[in-house]
Amino acid sequence: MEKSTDKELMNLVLKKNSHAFKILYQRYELAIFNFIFKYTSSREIAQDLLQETFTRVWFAAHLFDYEGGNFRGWLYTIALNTTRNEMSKKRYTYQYLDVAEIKGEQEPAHPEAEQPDSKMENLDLKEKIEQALENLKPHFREIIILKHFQQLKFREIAEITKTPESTLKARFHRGIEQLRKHLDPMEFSDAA
Amino acid sequence: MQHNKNSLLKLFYKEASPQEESELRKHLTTCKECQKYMQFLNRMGTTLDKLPEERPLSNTFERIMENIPVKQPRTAFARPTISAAPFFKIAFSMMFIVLLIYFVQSKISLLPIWDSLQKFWLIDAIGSFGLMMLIFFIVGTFITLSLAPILYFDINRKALRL
Repeated sequence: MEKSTDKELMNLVLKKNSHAFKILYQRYELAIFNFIFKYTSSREIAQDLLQETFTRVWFAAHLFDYEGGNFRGWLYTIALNTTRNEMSKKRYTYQYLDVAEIKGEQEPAHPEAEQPDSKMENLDLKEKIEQALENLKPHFREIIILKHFQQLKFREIAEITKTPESTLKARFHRGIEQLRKHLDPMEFSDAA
Repeated sequence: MQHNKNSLLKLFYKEASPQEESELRKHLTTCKECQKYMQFLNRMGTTLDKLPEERPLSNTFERIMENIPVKQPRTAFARPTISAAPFFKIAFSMMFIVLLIYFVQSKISLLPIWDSLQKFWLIDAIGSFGLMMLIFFIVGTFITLSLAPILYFDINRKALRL
């Protein structure tokens, strides 16, 4: 079952097969979690919305287009709508999550390789990029995350967001221009 | 070729067709403005790539499944060792058979052949009722033994399906 396509697995999910659902979850958990995390800048909200997204996949399995549908696109549409809905609620402001708090939960890939100075620099840069992303308007942030971090094609993003490709590209240009303003002159200029 | 940021974006994210790509690369060798924009995209990409990948909690899937009603596999129904139904079935079947025998024996004793049958000592001893009981017993045994293999396999097939 591990080698089955997304559609084959979705057919099983439709029949309430939890094993197939778990395989689909494992395939997309990181991508969806990172998409939501970068969008919301909050680990807690990203965690909740990841659960909400996959719960919706389970209950809305009958709404998936089994003939010509693209599961990845459908999943991102659910994740995006769930995130947009949640972020539009007043109770969630775009508060910035303390980076030290995030760092405390994550183990470094190679602890011995990380020197204290470089660790602090990375943490600083990470914080700055996250802050810069957070400062963007949601529709700019959305396109940058979907395009750059999630590596989706403009055609796919157009389907997910129901927005023309030309509009998305224009937003992307404006988004990265704004990012540059937020990152300059500190880290961004050093990246060249 | 005119400066087109969208085309450069397609080139940067490898979405351009081979023909578009060769045209853009050719254009880039001469156009300073586009070169500058490509450098900007490269720098921005490198910077954004420094943002590490985050991981959700390891028990997230279990937490999702807690809120989802999953159809449980059908558990075998635990039948009671003794059930009242077979006793009722047997009792009604026996009542029916006895009444049938009583009815048939009352008719057989009226037949002219009955006088000649009574000359046999066994038939004389058991009477018309006993004779009918004997016939029913023999016929019943024959039918049961004939159907037993079919019934046995049918029950097992149903049991296996469960």
